[in-house]
Amino acid sequence: MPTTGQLILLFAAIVCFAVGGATSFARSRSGAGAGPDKRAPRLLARALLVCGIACCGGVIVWHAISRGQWVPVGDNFDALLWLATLLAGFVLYVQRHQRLGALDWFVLPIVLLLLIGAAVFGRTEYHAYHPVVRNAWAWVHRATAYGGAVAFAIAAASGAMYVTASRKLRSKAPVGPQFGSLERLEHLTMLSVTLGFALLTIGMVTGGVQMLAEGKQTYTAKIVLAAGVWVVYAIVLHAPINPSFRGRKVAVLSVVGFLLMLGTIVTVLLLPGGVS
Amino acid sequence: MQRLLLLGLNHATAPLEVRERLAFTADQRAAALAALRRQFEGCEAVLLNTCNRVELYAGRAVHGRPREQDMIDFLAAARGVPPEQLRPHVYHKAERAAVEHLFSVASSVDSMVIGETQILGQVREAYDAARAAGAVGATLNPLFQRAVAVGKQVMTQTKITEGRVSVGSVAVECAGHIFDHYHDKTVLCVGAGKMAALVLQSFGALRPRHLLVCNRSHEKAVALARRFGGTAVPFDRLDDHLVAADVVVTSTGSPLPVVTRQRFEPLRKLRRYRPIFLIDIALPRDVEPAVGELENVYLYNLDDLQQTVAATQSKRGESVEQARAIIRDQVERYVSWHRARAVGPIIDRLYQRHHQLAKEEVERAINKMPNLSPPEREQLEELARRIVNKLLHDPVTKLREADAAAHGGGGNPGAAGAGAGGGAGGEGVASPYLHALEKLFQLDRPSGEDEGSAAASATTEAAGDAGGSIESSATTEPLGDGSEDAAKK
Repeated sequence: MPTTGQLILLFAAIVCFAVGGATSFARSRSGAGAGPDKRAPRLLARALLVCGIACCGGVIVWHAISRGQWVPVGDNFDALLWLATLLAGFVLYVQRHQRLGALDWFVLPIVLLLLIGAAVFGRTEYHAYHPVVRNAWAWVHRATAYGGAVAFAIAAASGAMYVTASRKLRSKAPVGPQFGSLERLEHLTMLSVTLGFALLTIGMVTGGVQMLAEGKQTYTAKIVLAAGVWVVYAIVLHAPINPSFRGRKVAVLSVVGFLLMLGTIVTVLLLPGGVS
Repeated sequence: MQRLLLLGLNHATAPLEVRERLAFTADQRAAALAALRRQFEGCEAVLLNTCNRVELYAGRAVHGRPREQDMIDFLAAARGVPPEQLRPHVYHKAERAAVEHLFSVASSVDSMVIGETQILGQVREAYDAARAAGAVGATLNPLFQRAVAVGKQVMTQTKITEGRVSVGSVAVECAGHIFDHYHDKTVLCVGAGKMAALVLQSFGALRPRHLLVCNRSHEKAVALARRFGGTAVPFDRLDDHLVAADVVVTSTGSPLPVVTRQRFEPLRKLRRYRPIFLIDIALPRDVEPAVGELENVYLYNLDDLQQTVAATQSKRGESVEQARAIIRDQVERYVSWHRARAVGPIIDRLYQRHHQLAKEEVERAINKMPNLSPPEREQLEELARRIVNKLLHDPVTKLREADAAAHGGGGNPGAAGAGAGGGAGGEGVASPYLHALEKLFQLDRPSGEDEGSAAASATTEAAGDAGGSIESSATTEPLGDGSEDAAKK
């Protein structure tokens, strides 16, 4: 269970991400261009993103110290924090290397949702790893499942950016450099989906092994949703074979897949005991 | 007295759909000018036809034709457009307003992309075409010569052309929202006109993998391809090129769309649904608008690009203000010059006619008095001349005063800041007097007066009763190239 101090630090992270995202959005809405007028808000947004990540990191460390366990993803609070931190870190990385200034507009709301979810659903007891699979299986399952979720979040964000930019281009509205190019967004989506699909597949296999080892029921809502997510992303990955899926359809499917993924996460959170 | 009229539509008043229906090819323009002059005998006409505007300038006698409605009907009939579809989009200007408009157009102040230099060539081309068709005379000749000179002056004396955003650069910017890099892309240019070359120049700088030029005239395609290091490809294999291309620039003179939805839709599968950026800078358009509705097809026409240019270009407010100041000054100069040119010949003809009458009467009287000595004959001739001068002095003085009052009192026709009005400047107080003089004394222009002499009219005035002689003073202003220089009669 998170302490009040940890929740305050978590709230600070939420504020940093929210203000940083709003600054980034306001900067782009104030008109295209560069120069000193634009540099200050950009640096502020970047600094707030880093601060938010630092706060999240602080909460993770504090939480691990307070529960006396350094193995991550042991409870909902820890799991959602990790997810949000990884996502924010990924945004920082992509923005630095891909010049996709608008990525934070689409990812930070997800990060905020995850952090708020951590604060709300985080009051669960530490979920000890099952003795039978306390080894690498459980670790791999959780790491790949959450890694896949991060990849799918990025895919969804780039997919949403693709749809937005495409619609703007069709309506001849100014797009702005923050969106990059459709080609880059499509590439990022496919890359993220490919990575996420591989991680999700590993996560599902290792999760299945755990379930069999623990003798749990295999047809739960979580399993069905996870299978649905897997199918949606399999269709997305089908695009290079059937190019009529290219472009907007892939972008929309990546968003749909992530919504299913969110459903899976929420289902997991609502399960008795939280993380399973 | 001639009257100047303008009727037209442009990017601000008419959408692309209307403009493309009214677009003239070079042949159509020549035929239209000939038809207009057949329909309205003696009128002058210049038809300015660009991507963004179609304007018909006409010079005609004050009470003559064509009038506004005639011009609408004529343009509509020439392009097969119902006049009622045209009427909501056209503007009509006369005299001074028309002069100011043409000067603004030639200076690119009225362009969608302010500061673009192509318009000056287009104005000159329209004038040359009209001149070749014999459709310009005393009204439009000096006007268009002056307009070209003003355009040059604005472009050289202001910074209006500096830092302008071209259609080509905007097309590249738009392509940048679709494609990340060009080393694996194919750029196809359909058509080999000037606009295509301008856009191709921008795309050529990106060093695409293939740069293809496809044109009905293969020689032109080869020339353009060579200029940008591309490859000329046959027009009859356009479908294959459309399959290979990622960026397509179309700029043909075809009156019908070259790329239709029916043609392009089956090609999408062969293209493996790759995104394609179609830039249609032709007028009439080369790409059917329905093509732009297809998935992964991004179609931009001239208006789309120019609106982007207009939205992104810096305002260059200071340069535009300087340009407008030059235009205002030049309009005043032109109007003053034109006014003086209109009044001078009429007074001149008035004196000539009356002196001729007096001379004839003196001859008749001398014939009845055969015993007159030469000095006596001279005395008689001088008497008649003085009487004519005395009789005409007051009306001519009044006419001049009315003219000066109507135009702000500027007596010097070349002086900037002289009043507005005159022949090109609107109907001043002097105009009724001038019309009355022409009608009452039948001072119609001599049939043999040509353009040059009309442009170089002179004002003849009586020297008063002191000397009793007639002297002429030139009242024309040089028009830059010297063709309209004053000449004394």
